[in-house]
Parts: sequence; structure tokens; C-alpha cells
Amino acid sequence: MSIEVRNISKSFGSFLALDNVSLQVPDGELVALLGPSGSGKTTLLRIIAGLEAFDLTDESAILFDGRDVAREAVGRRRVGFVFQHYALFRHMTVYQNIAFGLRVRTKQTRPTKDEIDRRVRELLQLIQLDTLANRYPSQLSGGQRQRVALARALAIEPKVLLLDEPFGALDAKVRQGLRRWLRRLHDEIHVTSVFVTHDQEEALEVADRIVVMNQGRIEQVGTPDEVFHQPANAFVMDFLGNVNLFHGRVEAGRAVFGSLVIDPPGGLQVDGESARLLIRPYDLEIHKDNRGQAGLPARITRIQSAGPVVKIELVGGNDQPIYVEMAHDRFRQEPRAVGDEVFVSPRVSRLFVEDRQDPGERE
Amino acid sequence: MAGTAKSRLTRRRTAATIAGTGDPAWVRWSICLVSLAFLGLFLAVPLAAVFTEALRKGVGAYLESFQNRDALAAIRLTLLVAGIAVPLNIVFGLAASWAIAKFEFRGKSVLITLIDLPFAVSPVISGLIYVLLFGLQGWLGPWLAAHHIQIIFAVPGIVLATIFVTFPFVARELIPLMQEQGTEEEEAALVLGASGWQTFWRVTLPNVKWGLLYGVILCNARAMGEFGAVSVVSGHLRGQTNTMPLHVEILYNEYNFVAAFAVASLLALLALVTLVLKAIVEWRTQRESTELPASTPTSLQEVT
Repeated sequence: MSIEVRNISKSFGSFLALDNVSLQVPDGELVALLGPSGSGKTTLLRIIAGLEAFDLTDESAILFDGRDVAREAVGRRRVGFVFQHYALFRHMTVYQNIAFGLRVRTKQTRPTKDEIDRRVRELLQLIQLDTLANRYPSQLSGGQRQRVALARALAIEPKVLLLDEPFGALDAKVRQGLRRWLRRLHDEIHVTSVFVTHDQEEALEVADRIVVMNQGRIEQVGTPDEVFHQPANAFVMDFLGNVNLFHGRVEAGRAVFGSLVIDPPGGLQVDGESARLLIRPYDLEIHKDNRGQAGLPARITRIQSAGPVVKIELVGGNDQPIYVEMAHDRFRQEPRAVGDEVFVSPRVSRLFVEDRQDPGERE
Repeated sequence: MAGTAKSRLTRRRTAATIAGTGDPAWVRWSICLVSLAFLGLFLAVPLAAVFTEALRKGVGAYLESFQNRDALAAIRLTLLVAGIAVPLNIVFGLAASWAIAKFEFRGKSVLITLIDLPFAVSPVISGLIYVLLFGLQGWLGPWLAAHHIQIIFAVPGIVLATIFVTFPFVARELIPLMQEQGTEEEEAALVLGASGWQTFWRVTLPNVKWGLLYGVILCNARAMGEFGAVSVVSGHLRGQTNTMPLHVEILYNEYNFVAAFAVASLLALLALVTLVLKAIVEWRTQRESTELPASTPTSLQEVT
């Protein structure tokens, strides 16, 4: 079932948590709401579920398959909601937790006892916990609890699955396993799903599409590739991975960052404006000499070679910290040492003038 | 998971405290002795005295005290009053703590303060308020008299005074518990399609059952043992408006020591049973809240 959110605002007192947000989630997609804390992503999720009221206006609406559900009670929306801290019923066993949504139905709509049992067993198998059906939540590990919470949400055959920071409370290893499991599960059952996360890696790995949010607004909507490689603005680029940020100024149609000059094709028409250059750590190269190129002089302060890539920290002019990542092969070919005076130049960078993105990608 | 990690940390810290900053032996011993002496003087000795006095003229005389019509009437009245006050206070306590813990509304802090009022006010004043309200010279007295409704110096007055004195017990026990549990489980139930009523019976109530029982035990003990407020509104009519504590006083004032202490021993027994029940409930609650997860997740090793 598709979800559409139209012109939703939400204020807590004078704080505007959501500022006229509109969003479409096509049927069967797995969408991530990604943003820092306080960006309004959880509020948006809770509003879709019906757990939170929004500022009602004439234009605002929440549509499930084109039908406005904004005035419908939570229980009638048939959404599966997975809470960040699981919210399992602590006095019920795993089995009872999963069966809850079916058992509370009215006599007319409630499945028979056998039917409920069959359904719960199926779900227990799906989450690979069939042997722990009689355990209480307190006897489960975090990852197991989260899977029970998911099974409980799926038991009512929801038309929409909403997950609030589903892996937030788990440790890194468990999180990664569960992430892949969720992706596989979604490929199997194809229920329209929205999950909230502040972890960009999680969003990039799991989601079909990513909605990047900041300060109650949507900054960009796109596939993981789109938001990562064509960020709509400096915030998106900064949030989706580490970046080096350089402040400069537009002079005679070119952006100047110390000795580094970016000359975009067609030139810039905003002389005197401040400009920002964002460069991913792996898009920076380190050279021994300047080789006639406009590189930035810098000094290596730290080298960390334990890990998938070699991480090098440098200090440029004005004590500007610079982070570079390079492959181990490359580092072996051109070994560097702490204290080396080198030049740093970008292979790819993104230029943002006054926060509007310019087609300033440079290769 | 996080809770377990924390409890392990605290345990380790406690061990360090004993090892590093333990007090010298004589300090520990003298503190122990002082508290034991205190307990003996103020709790054990009086308790022993009650039973000794009650049995001074033998078991026969002791049991005979309960054959007395007035004594039986006092016991019956006490049970009746507790039987009315405790259920009403369960309903009130649940409603108040549910409202306070699960919802945000204006005047919430005023309500919390009001719930504490009976603790702050002397029981005698509480009784006096009802005399001023419902007594013959009171605000509602003439109207009540005209309609032949007697509240003061009758059972309804005793019930009212008891309810007033005991109503913080259940609510006070439940409010912090419910606040700590938050509203997520209720929200989960609602999303799953449960009605508000189902959510209350199947999620909220089972989650607080031990806290509720604890509150009920304390509430009951107080309801049966209340003296001051009940004394003011009762009128001390033998066989009619005397509860057990009041009956004890009357017998004592009549120098009927064996009978007085016999009835008193019943109240003391009630206190002992209450303490035992309280300990059991506390033990159950603690066991439930500290249950360790069966399989220790890997993160724990990293945390601790």
C-alpha cells in the first residue's frame, strides 16, 4: 500500500518539529528517514502511524492508497509499528506477545484459535525463534527482542510497516546481521516499509530510497546512489559520510580556497559570495611536491593504518584539519610518515555557493 | 540488556567500596548494636508485651475475650470498613496513577499534592472535617437530618474517614511504577488494534500487579488500624460504632486488660501478616525486575 504525506506540520509549543512536509512512498518500497536527532524523523513516523497528532490544516492529509486516514484511530490503520526499545509486553511470553494483535480482535474478525496458533508458529519460524516461544522478553538478548517486536507487528498483517530506529539499541555486530535480515525479509514479504535512522550507513545499505531530513524539513529524496553521489546540498553531503570542508570566496567567477582554485565551466556569477568546498576523504590525493598543480600545503600529524583503509590526518594552512583516506596498496607504493610536509589536491569535489549547489563537480 | 550491564557495574563498585573504604570493625559493630537495641526496645518488647498480657490469665480467658458480643461487633465492623475502603481506594488509586503517569494535563502537580494530603494532615483533623461537614451543626447536617440520613456517629462516617486516611497508599505506590514503565507498551497495544479497555486490562494492569498488591496490603493495614480519624467520627457506641482499635481503648480504660490485649493481639497479628506479605511481594517484584537474560549478549562483555 502506498503512503502519501501532504503538507504536514507539527509544533511542540514554539518548537517547529515538522515544517510543511510532503512525502510519497510507493507501494512495496523500503524507505529510510535519515537525519540527525531533532530533525523530525521520528515525529513524522509517529504521525503516519497515528500515535502523534499534527497541526491540522485544510491542505494537510495522510493518505494510505489514496484514502485519507488522518482522522482514523491508530488501531484501525492496520500499521505495524516497531519501537526503538521494542516495547514488548514484559509479562507475556514471546508467543503471547506475537498473538496479542490477533487475540484482541472482536469476535467477528478474530481468527480461530488454531488459525492464530498456525500464524504465530509461522512468524516464530520467520524470525528463527521457534524454540524460544515460551521465554519472557527479559530472558532474550536485544537482537532477539527486536525480532519478536517485528513478528508481533507482522502478525496483524499490516499494510504498512513502520520502524523507529529499529537497530538503534543494539551493538554493532548484531545490528549488521539484523540489517541484512530485514532487507531479505522485505524482499520476501514486500510490505511498504518506512524506517527511521540516524545512521547513514544503515540507510545506504538497507533502503530502496532515502529521505534526508534536517530541522523539520526534507532536504533530499532519492536512491542511496543519488543522495550519496549527487547530494542536493552541503548538509546532505556532510551527513552522508565524512567530508573535508573548506571555506572560501568567489573571485572573478572562480572559487578560491587559499592556494586551491576551483574554476567551474561557465564561471560563477556571484562574485564576493562565500563558497564552500566539500571533499570526501577518499577523493583527496597526497603529493610530495606541488607539480604545478594548485594543491594545499599540509603537514601529516597522524597515520592510522589498522582498518580497511589507511586514514591520514593532516593540518593545512590556518590550522585547518584535513582527513585523507587511501587504499593500503597505494600507501605501500608511496609511504608517508608523520611530520611529512606534503600537498593535498582533490580528485573530485563539490562546490556549494550560498548553499545552492552549483554543477561544480570537478574530476 | 543495558540494565544488566548497569547492575553488574554497580555490583563491582560495591565490592570495591567494601575493600577500599570499609569502616573499622568497632564502628560497624556499634552501629549494629545501636540499631538492634532500638528495634528491640521499640518493636520486639512491646510486641511480646501484648501477647504476654493477653495470655496472662491463660488461653481460656484469652479466647473468652472473643466470645464477647461487643468484641465480635468491633471485629465485624473493622472488616466491613476495610472491605469497603480498600476496594474503593484500589479504583481511585488506579485511576489517579493512570491519569498522572500516562497523560499530560493541566493541574497535574496539584493532583499529586492533593493525593499526599492525608499524609500531611493529622488524622484527628481529617475526622473533624467530616464532623464539620456532616455533623448536626455542620454544613450539610440540617439537610441530612431532615432526610434521616446519619453519617456522623454511624458506619458511613467511619467508612468516609477511613477512605480519606488511606487513599494515598495505592496511588503513591503505583505512580512512580507507572511513570517508570512509560507509555510505549500501551502505544504498542493500541497500534496492534487493542481498545483502551483491553489495553488497560491486558497491558497496564498486569504490569503493575505487584505494586498494586503492595499498596493494597499497606492500605488494608492502615484501614484496619486507623484510630484518630475514626475516633472523632465514631461516637464510641459499644457494639455499634466501635472498630477494633477503639474497642481496645475502651476495654483498657475499663481496666479489662486481658480482653484489651486480646483484641490488640489480633491487630498485632494483622501487622505481622502484613509484614510477611509485604516481604513476599517485595521479593517477587525484585526477582521479576532483575531477571537476567538467558543468553548473555556479546555487547555485555564489551561494556563491563
